[in-house]
Amino acid sequence: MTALGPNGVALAPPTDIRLPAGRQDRRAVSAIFGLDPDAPVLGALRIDSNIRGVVGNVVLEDPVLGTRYRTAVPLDLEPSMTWIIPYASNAGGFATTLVLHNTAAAAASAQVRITGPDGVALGTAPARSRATAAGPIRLRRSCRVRRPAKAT
Amino acid sequence: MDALIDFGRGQIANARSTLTDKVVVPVAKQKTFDFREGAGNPLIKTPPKQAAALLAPPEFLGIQRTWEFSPAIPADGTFSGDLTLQYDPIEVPDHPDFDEAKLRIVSLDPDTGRITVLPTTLDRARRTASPRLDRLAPSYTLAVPGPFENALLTSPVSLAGQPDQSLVLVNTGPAATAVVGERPLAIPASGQAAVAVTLESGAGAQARTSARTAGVVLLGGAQVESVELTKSTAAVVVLPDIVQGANAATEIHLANGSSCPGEARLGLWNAAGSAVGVTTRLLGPQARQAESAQALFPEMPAEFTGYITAEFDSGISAASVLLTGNASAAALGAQPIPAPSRTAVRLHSPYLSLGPGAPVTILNLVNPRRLTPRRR
Repeated sequence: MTALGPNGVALAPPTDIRLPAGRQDRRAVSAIFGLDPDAPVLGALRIDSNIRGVVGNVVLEDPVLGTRYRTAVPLDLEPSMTWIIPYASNAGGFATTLVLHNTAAAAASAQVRITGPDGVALGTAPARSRATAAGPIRLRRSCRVRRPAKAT
Repeated sequence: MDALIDFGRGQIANARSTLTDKVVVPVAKQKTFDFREGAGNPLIKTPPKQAAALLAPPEFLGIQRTWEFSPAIPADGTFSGDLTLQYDPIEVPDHPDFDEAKLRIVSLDPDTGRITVLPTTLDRARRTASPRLDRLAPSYTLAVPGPFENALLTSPVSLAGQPDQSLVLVNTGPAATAVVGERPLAIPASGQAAVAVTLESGAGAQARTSARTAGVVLLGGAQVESVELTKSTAAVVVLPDIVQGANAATEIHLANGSSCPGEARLGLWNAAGSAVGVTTRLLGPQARQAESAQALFPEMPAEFTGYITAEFDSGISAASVLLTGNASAAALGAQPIPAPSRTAVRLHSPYLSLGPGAPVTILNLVNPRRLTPRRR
């Protein structure tokens, strides 16, 4: 198991666990990697298994044991060239942030397109660019993330 | 590439979907002459070229059975024979594009992901399919090859007492119509569009729509959470994160999207891999139910961490919802159990956070056992 920082560099030495048949391992990431839970960092997780058949998820919850919010995200076995994100909003007190993680060994670029409910494109973030969407975005938006085919 | 969306206010939801990078041919039962009982559930990967294709429609609609052979025999001139597979009408998928006359025998190699559609002689009166073989693949099933025009999107999750539940669909193809319940919805063309439908409390989500449509169910309330609508329902699945304690409880949501009654067989395992309980639920056509894990499994201790494996008849889907009173709800759809193999794999999560005030990130890994099949 490897915890990666935003630049793709490991935040700590990779950690090995043995997961016998039928077993479950459910722990905070800070405990798994010996990371300081008070040191701010955003990143990603990579789990290499020597067999096929292991499944899992990540739970994100508020520091008071999920008493305010909690969500669960399944682990991906096969990262995709294209993601459809059916809902994005910055209305009603919401802010939408898209998190992309390049799982390949080589550098890659991504193209992000956001469209309104009528299917009309509202904007495109070109490959190798960084952009912040401007202007009002109403509720019920969808956006589409596409990695160019030439990227690996 | 992996992706995730953050709605702000600390509410990070799994509001993402791929249209079809992978196709799961559901498998519930295995039956053949020298087969291994209960060893099925191949997760069929599309060939790389197809997987890379933008928004390719699903390739197969499979019946709820595979036939497994061990050992497999390569095409080295040592083997030749006729294989006859008999199927049952109750095993065929409930899908608008399923056409029994187009059933073909498909050979599968779960280790390599290789899929081969074989020339098939179909006898619909006797419900048999026969190809001539010059090799013996690890497993076979019957399926209708795609592409398909339509899709059946389902989500089993519905939170009682939560009126702010919406179904959001995105159409990436030409103008399409979705039917949600009895209500038709026009979805505009040109790539992406979204519509929202307010679901009645207690109702789940199911949409019959174009194959180029994806969607999520948004669960409102104190926080926003979402569950991806899925196109296919796998027959052997795991709900990997079952927690019970003073501060958390887990609900199990089941939905039968089929027009036939179906059975869900569920087994609860603790984190050490020991069986805690087994139970069965019958669901009528289009029926849904949500129960606490503790009600499903009275044997569950008051403080518990573990997972559920399940076997479903055709059309049944499941999700778990981890609840903290009315404060938060974390929904997680059931995951197909990949066919075990010695192939090394890599799993990803695009997000972890640390720091004061940041969400606590918990990694949950399961090497799941399979529920022992029980023949009816």
